Amino acid sequence: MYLQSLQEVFGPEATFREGQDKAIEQLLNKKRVLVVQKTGWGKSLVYFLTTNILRSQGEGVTLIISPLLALTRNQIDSTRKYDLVADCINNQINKTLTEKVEVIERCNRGECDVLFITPEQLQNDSFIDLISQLRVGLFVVDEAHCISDWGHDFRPDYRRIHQLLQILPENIPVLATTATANDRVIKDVTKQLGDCEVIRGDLQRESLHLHKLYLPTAEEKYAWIAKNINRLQGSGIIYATTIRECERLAMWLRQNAVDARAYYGRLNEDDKIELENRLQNNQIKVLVSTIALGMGYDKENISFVIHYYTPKSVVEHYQQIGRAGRGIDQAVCVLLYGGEDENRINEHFIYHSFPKQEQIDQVLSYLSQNDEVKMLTLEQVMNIKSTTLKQILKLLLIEGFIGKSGASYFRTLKPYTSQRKYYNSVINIKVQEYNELLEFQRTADCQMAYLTKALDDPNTRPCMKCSTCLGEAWDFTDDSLSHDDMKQVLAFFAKNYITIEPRRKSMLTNKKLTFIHEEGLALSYYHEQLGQQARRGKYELNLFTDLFVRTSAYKLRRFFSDKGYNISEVIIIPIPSNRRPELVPRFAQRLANTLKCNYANILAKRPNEPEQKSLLNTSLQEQSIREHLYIKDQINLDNHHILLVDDFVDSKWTFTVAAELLGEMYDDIKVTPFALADTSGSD
Amino acid sequence: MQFTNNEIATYLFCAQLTQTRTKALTILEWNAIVKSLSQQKLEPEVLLTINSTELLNVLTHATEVQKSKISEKIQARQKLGFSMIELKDIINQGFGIMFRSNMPPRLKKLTTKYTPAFFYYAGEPSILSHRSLGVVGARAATEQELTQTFDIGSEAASYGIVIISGGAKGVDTTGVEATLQNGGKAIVFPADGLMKWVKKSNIRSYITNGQLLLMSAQRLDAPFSGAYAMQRNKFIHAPSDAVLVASSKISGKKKSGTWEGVLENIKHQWSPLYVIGCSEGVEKLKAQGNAELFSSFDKVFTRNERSEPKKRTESNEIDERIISLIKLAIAKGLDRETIEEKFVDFSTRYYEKQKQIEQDNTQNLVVHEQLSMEEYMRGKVD
Ligand SMILES: Nc1ncnc2c1ncn2[C@@H]1O[C@H](COP(=O)(O)OP(=O)(O)OP(=O)(O)O)[C@@H](O)[C@H]1O
Ligand SMILES: [Mg+2]
Ligand SMILES: [Zn+2]
Repeated sequence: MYLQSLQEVFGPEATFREGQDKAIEQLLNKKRVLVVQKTGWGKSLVYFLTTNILRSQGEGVTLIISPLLALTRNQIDSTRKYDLVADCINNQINKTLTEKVEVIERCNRGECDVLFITPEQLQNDSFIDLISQLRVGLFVVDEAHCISDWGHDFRPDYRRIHQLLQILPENIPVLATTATANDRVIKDVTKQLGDCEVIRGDLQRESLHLHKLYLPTAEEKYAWIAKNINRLQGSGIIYATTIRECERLAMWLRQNAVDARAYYGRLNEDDKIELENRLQNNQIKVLVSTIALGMGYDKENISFVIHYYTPKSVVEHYQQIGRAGRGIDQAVCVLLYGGEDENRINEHFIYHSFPKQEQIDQVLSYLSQNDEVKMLTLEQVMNIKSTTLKQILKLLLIEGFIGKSGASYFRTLKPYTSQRKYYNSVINIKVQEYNELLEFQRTADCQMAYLTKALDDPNTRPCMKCSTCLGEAWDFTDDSLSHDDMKQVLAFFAKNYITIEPRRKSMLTNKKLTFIHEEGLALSYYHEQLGQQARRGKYELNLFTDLFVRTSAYKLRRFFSDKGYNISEVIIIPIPSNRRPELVPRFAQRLANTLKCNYANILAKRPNEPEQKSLLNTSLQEQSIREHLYIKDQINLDNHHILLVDDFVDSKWTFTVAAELLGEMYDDIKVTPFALADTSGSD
Repeated sequence: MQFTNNEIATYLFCAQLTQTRTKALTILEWNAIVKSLSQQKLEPEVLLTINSTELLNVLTHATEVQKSKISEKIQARQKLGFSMIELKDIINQGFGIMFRSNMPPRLKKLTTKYTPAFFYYAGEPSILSHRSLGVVGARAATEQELTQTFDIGSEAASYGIVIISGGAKGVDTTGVEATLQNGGKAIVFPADGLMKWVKKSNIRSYITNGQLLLMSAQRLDAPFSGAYAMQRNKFIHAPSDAVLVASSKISGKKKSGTWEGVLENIKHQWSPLYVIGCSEGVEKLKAQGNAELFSSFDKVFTRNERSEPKKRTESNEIDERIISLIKLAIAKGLDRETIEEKFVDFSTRYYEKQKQIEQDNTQNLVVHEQLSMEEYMRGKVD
């Protein structure tokens, strides 16, 4: 029936995939529809074609909620094929209100057919005012598993969509689409949609060849990737968890003459666009990416996806491998798993998805007793990490327990009911989902069958393509690692620096600091093996063994010579501690001996300083350090290069304030901080 | 709170929704729509999908001028469904919406001509069913007038009489605060939006412990508006059982809000007026026999009971039937305990069943809504 519209876009040979035309028809009848179909099936086609028809009937714009920015850009590109004009509103592209107003006006003037927004926008009052002016013909929730609490990473923004669906008048049709909804998620999403039609198909991806491999250390994973990357044809994506990991892995690959680049949400927009384009045009071998480039992303010829870490759920895994093999017959997907770090990190994310109840109560009770309270005031009166505070406020706002006007918050009339039970149930599901993936690591079943079964696909069957099904016949990868392969990785790791970037502004005064230290160095990450050894040294042995002196000396020599400094001209100054007065000074002294440089123990702390890590937000940390740290001995250090040594670095306030004290006291000095472990981001 | 399609349509077309940059229907336009629809057995939800030709045919009770305005307004908002997130947020933050069908009889004294399609409220709406004393008066009342107002407000608390006021400085606030501080109840119809009010910690606690009800026909963040201040005078005078005028000027070149409200009351005969002090307006009311001196709650409210004769006979009738039932039960040999138990038992079960019906059957609700809308319209539209 709508075949003509399809063929106008895809040529006279084109036919609908089963269910596409039915979905379109329902939407044109103003119905609500949930489409659950495998990755690459053509869910976007349903809403783009429907838009074409609705627009020709004089209806308003199609509003699409799309979870990831990279996806939005990718989708906007594909609207051209449908002869649709698309625009988007998000915090990166049209930052100012005037820009956003313009977009809305273009839509209402009929100059735009499709408007993409990110779910975060729905939190923003001025944005809500804007879409209140928008004449909408079709509302689409792409990747709709996200609106279910059981569907994906819990994103409070999606609770807004739930609220929206409850109140949206029935004269606007709604389409929700996803590839990854098991029975429970389908039930939940259909409940949110209300009266709706579900169009569901099987999930098996014929083009994908799945493989999994146990490699317990980062070094082995690095070696494997270097060895296999060129065996894999075409270009692809490697998924890693953190930005630093993406950067380091990409650097390793480049060192192995592989055209690799790191990709993550925090890159600036131009860089991201350039990287996306290079991937799209096959001008790059591999992007090492966080989940920022995940679900929905449509490029026809991605021919491999490697997981450097184990995803947190089958949903995430199936979504990410779903990027591969969309318009080609064959693609390889490999899960590299194993190692203590990995579980620790994933479990940390799972268990810390919600703030602590005591902290929520604290915020609520303060707001109850006051009229309107500024964010700044809240930060100052409450000992809560500012990211946590923000998260608490966001959750409370969405649930309606508090309201916001401008930069102030206030308690609403809604009686507070603890959300703990609900939070716990979300956490339990997440644990279960993670276990499902750990089980996937161990399963002896067909890998594709395992995944589709976990997603409740009724047509699950052995794929005859994965490394389990193929057994000995699997030859897409070479999994043996030689001594030589490993040696290169070890050399790379030894040379790799974990840097400490200087702070530039005081959080207390919001003014520039009077003195800023050089880029510093951390020996390890806290969650890695060496970092954990440092933890034992501090809390159990009260001693950092010779291993630390040796490796620190080795790293520091290289670090200084790379920067063109002479390490033996440096003066080492330890950061004092009243709790463990000997630990750091003794280590610093031995380090100075090994490096053959001077040592001066001239800093001290006034008594009764609270432990830094007990101060949860950065302005409290800065304040406490400023109140306690001072220079106790006056020796002349003019014109010297000082190496500040501490055990752990987290907020960086100790180094920052110490450097500032020294900088104010002496002329023409340089200060470089050094710590045994970087604990930022771990609790 | 889940809304019916009718309620959603009502809000979409009648709420101010200034952010949409479109106009809301006026009360009279809405009345014309409701009357036309109900005559054709249609419900407001059709407004979401109706096209302009159909609409013009349906609007049998609208003037030609109204027709084109209504049609324009409906067209402009029909596809602005996303603006309804406002309603969701309002409810989510603990405010309520009282559509006409949920308004208690007290408010219906206003007649449709003056009744907005809905009120925003904060607090326990059942306060509206208590006996009440409206308190109106100038911002600039004398010390003595204020002291007297305070005393009356405090006393109201012990008589279980609710104070209704406009929440302005001076007399309004004094009366309300007096009663609240003494554990009494009050209803305030402020001239600005409710949001500003509930941001105050002490207001919130009066609301949460069931003493205070705030009501407004204006959007929550509305600034003070003179026009609305005039409109809301009706909301104070009409539902009150009696109104105390504590101090008033007389409108001259500059209109006095208090005085205009009082005149309206006299015109519509909403509720008897009582006065204190000797301000210009008060003297005039006394002289013309439009008001009496406020003497005591006993006097004001016994006298007033005559204005509710229907309720009285109703309750007499019930008393008599209960007595005859008890006699019957005794005759059949039941003892006192059993009789009492039976009463409690039956009424508990009855109310539970009622509640069940209300929850289960939204269909019913729509019918109910419609019925009460029609009952409402019967002969009363001006
Ligand atoms: N009926 C069809 N005929 C030809 N090509 C089609 C048809 N349907 C979809 N496609 C193409 O298939 C590709 C994948 O479609 P799309 O991006 O919509 O997948 P999806 O179902 O949204 O997947 P994901 O779950 O990964 O987001 C697109 O490039 C699209 O143009
Ligand atoms: Mg998609
Ligand atoms: Zn298989």
